[in-house]
Amino acid sequence: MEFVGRLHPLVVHVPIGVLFLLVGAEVAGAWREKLKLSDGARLVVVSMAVAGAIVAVGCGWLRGENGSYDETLLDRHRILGFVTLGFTVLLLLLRRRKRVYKFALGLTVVALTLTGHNGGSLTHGRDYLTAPLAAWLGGESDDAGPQALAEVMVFEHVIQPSLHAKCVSCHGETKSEGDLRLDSFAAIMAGGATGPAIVVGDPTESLLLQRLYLPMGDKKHMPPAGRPQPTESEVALWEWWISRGAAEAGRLVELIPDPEILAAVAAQLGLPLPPEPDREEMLAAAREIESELGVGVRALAVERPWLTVNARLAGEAFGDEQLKRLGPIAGAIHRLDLGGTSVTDVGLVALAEMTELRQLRVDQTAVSDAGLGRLVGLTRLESLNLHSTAITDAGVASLGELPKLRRLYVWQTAVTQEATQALAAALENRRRLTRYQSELRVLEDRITAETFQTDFGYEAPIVIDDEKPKDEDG
Amino acid sequence: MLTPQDIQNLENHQRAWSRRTFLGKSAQAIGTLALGSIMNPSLLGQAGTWRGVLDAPHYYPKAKRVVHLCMAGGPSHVDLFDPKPVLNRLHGQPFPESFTKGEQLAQLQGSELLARGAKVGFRRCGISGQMISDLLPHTQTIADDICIVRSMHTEQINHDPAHAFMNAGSINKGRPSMGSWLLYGLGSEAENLPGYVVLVSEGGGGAQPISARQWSAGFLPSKFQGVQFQSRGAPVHYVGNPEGVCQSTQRQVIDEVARLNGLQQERSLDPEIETRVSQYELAFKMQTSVPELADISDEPQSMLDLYGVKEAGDGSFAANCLLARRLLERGSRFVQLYHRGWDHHSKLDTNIQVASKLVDQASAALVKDLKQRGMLEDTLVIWGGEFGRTPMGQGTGRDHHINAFSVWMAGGGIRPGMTWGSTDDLGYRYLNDGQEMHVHDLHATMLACFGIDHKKLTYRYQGRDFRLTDVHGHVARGILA
Repeated sequence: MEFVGRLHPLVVHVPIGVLFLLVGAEVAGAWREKLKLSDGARLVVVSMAVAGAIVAVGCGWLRGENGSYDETLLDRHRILGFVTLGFTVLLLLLRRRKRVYKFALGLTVVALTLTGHNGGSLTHGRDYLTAPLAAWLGGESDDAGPQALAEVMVFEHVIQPSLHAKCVSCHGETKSEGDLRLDSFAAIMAGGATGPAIVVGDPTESLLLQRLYLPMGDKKHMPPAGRPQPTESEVALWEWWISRGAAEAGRLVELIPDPEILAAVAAQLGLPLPPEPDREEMLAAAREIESELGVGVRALAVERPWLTVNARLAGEAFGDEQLKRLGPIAGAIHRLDLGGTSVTDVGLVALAEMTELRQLRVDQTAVSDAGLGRLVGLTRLESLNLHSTAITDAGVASLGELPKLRRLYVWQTAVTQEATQALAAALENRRRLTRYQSELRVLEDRITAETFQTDFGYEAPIVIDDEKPKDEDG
Repeated sequence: MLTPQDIQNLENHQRAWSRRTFLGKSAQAIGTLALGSIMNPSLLGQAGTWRGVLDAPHYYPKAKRVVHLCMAGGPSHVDLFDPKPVLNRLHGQPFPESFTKGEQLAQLQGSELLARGAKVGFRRCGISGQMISDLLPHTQTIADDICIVRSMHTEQINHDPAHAFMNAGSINKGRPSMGSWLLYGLGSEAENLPGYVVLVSEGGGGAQPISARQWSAGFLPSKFQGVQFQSRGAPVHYVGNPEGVCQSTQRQVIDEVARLNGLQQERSLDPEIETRVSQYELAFKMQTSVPELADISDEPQSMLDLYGVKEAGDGSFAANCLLARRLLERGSRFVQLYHRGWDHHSKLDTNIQVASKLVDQASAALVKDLKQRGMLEDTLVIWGGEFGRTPMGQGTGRDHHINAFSVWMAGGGIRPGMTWGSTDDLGYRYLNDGQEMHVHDLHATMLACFGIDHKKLTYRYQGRDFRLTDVHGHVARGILA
C-alpha cells in the first residue's frame, strides 16, 4: 500500500494536466467559434479529470497515512484535495449550464492551485517557494550574518545553514522522516527513531555521518541518491564540529581551528581569510635577514608564506637583539630553531608576534622558567624543545596554556616525570573541557525537555527523587 | 672603417674558432643551457652556497636530513626482522622447488637447496609488539620508534650493482645517488661542512669493498657528490695549514684562486669551475670546522657509553654514529654510514652475531639520542642492506637474495612502531598485498618525507628529464605519520 501511496506525486499530475487542457480549450472556444468543444469532447475531458482526481486523492490519502508530515499542513492539503475533487465532479454535473459551469471551472483552478502549492510545501518545506522570492524582493535580509571570521558562531553560521540546505527538507518541521528533525540544535541532539543523530566528540560513531559515509548505492545512504549531497568541505566541517564537542554556542575562533577548517568556513560564508603575510614580501625580507644574521631561512610551502628559521647555524652570535630582527617575518615563521644560541628569557618577548609557530627549539640556551611564561600566546605550538636548559617543574606547569602542544623535550633538565605527566594531564583535560562543557549543555537541555509532569489533581503531590534523565541511547 | 689591425683581429678570431673549438664550445653552450637553473644566482644563498633547485618543497615537509645506516653485504632478514616459523620447521629439508624454479640465484645456482631456519629466537618488543631478533637486543628497545619494512625487494643480486641500485635507483654509471639528489633539490644548511658525508666501518666477516661511485653525483654537478671522511683518526687529512702559513694568508690564496677561476668561468661557463670555486671555499672553512667536529671531548662519558664508543676515531661503527649525529646537528643533509660486514656466505651463526654486536647498540643509540635532542622529528633514519639473504642455506651461511629483505626506518615523518609489508611463509618473496616496497618506492617515500614529489625533482640530461625514481616509484603513504 505504501508503494501506491508513493505514486501520489506522479498521478496527481494527470488531473492537473487534464484540467488545464480543459481551461485552454474553453478559452479558445470563447474566442473562435470553430474551436469550441463539442458536448461529447467536453464529457470525455471532464470525466478524465474526475477519474484522475479520484486516483490522485486515493493515493494521496495513503501517502499521508505513511509519511511523517506536519499535521496541520497535511490536513489542509487533504481538505483542499477533496474540495478540488468535489469541484471536478461538479463540473461533470453542470457541464451543460454554461454560466455556472464557467464559474465552477474558475473555482476549480483556484482550488487546484492552492492544493498544489500546499503539497509542494509538504515535500519541500514551507518556505521552499517564498524564501528565494523574499531574498530577491527584500534584498539583503535583516540578519546579515557574520562579517568576519572572528564573529562566526560555529553552529549558527556554519553547521545549521548547511544542514538546512541539505537535510531539512525531509527532516524538518513539515516533514520529519524517521522522526528525525535537523532544523534545531535541540532536535539534532534528540535524534530520531533509530537513535541520537550525534555522538558528541565522535564523528565516526555519529549516525548523521555514518549514513553519509555509506556508499551512494546503499539504500540507507543519506541524503538519498538524487538529492543534493553535502560537499566534501561541508562534511569535513560537520566532522570537525562533532569532534570538537558539537556545542550550540561557541565562536569559531575559540576552538582554534586548523587552517583547512578556517579556509572551508571562509569559503562557505564567503568571508575573507585572515590576511596572510605576502609570500614574496616574506621571502625578500628573509633573504635580507639571512645575510644579515647568518641564519638559515627556508620556505616551507610553494604557495603559502610559511618559513622555517634555523638560528642554530649562527650559534652564540645570535642573541636577543638578533631575535628581535626577525620581526618583519615573524608572522610567517612556522618553525624556529634557537638551539645553542645566546637568547635569554628577556628576548623571548619577540615570540609573541610569532602566532603561527608550530615548532620551537630553545635547547641549550639560557632560557629558564621565566621565559616559558612568554609562550602563552603561541596557540599553535606543537613541539617545544627545552633540553639542556635551566627549566624546572614550575616552568613546565606554565605550559598548560598551549592547547596544541604534543611534544616536549626536557632531556638534561631538572624537570621530573611527575611534572610532565601533570602537564600532559592538564593539556588533555583542557581538550576535554570544551567537549564536556558542551555535553553538559546537551544533557541540561534534555533534562529540561524531558522533565516529568506531575498531576496535582486529587491526591497529594508525588515526591520524586532519584529520577534520572533517560540514558544517552534512550 | 676597418683598419688593417681590425682585419688581423678578425682573422685571428676566425682561426681560433677551429672545428674542434667550435664543437667544444657548442657542447659547452648546450650544457650551459641545461644548467641554466644551476647557475641561477637566485638559488645561491649568502656566501654563494647552494640553496637547492626547489624554491620550496612541494608538500609541507617533515624531514630535513637523513642518516642512512647501510649494512653493506646484505643482512639476513629471516634472522633479524622477519621470523618464519614454517622455515624453522623445514630446517635442513629440501627447499620447496615451487619457490625457486626458474629463479635467479647468485652462488647457489645449480646446487641442492636446503631450507635454513633462524638459530636465534625473536621477541615481541615494546608496546607495538614488533618482532625483532634477540641478536639485536638494543634495537629491541627502540621497537616503538621504528617502522620495520619486510617487503623490500631489489633488482640486483651482486653487491656493487645492488648498492648502486639502492643509491641511485639504477645500475647505470652516471646516475646521481640519493644524497646528491637531495643536495641538488634542497641544498644543505651546513655552510662549513659538506652536505653529504660518507663514513665506512667494517667487521663481522665478508667485508666487500665499497666503491666511491656509490656516492657519486653522476650527471649532476660534482659539488653534490658525497664526501668520504676517514673514520679512523682525523676525519679529513691535512686540514691544518703548513708551517709558516697563517689563516689570513690562506684566505688571500683562496680569494686569488677564486678570482682567476672566475675569469675562466666568464669565458667558458663551465659548471665544474663553479664547483671548484665552492670546493676551495668549503675546504677553507673545513680547516676550522672539521677539527671542531671531530673533537668529541665535549661529549660526556655517558654519551660515549650510550653509543658504545671506546675511542674517538677508532674506525668503529659506533664512533661513526656519534660523528654522524654531530654532522647532522651541524646541518649536513645526508650522512651515509656503511658497515661492511654482512656478506655471510659462510659461518653465518658466528658472523651475524659479530656484525649485530658491532652495529646494534650504536644504531639504537643514534635513534635514542636524536630523539632526546628533539631531532628525530626531522631526521629520517634508514637502516638496511642492499639486499637480503636466502632462506636457503649455503653451507654454513646464506646466499644473496633480492626477492625479499627487511629495512627499518625511523623519524622524519615515518610512522613509528609499525611493521609494513610481509613475505611468504618461507621469507622467500614479498607479498603483493599493497604494502610491497621496491627500492624505487623507498626512494619515493624518502623524498615524500622531505615534502618532495619524486616525479617533480628532475634534471635534464642527454635530452630527457631524469629523476631518482626514473619512471617508477610509489609513495608508501601507509608508513607516513
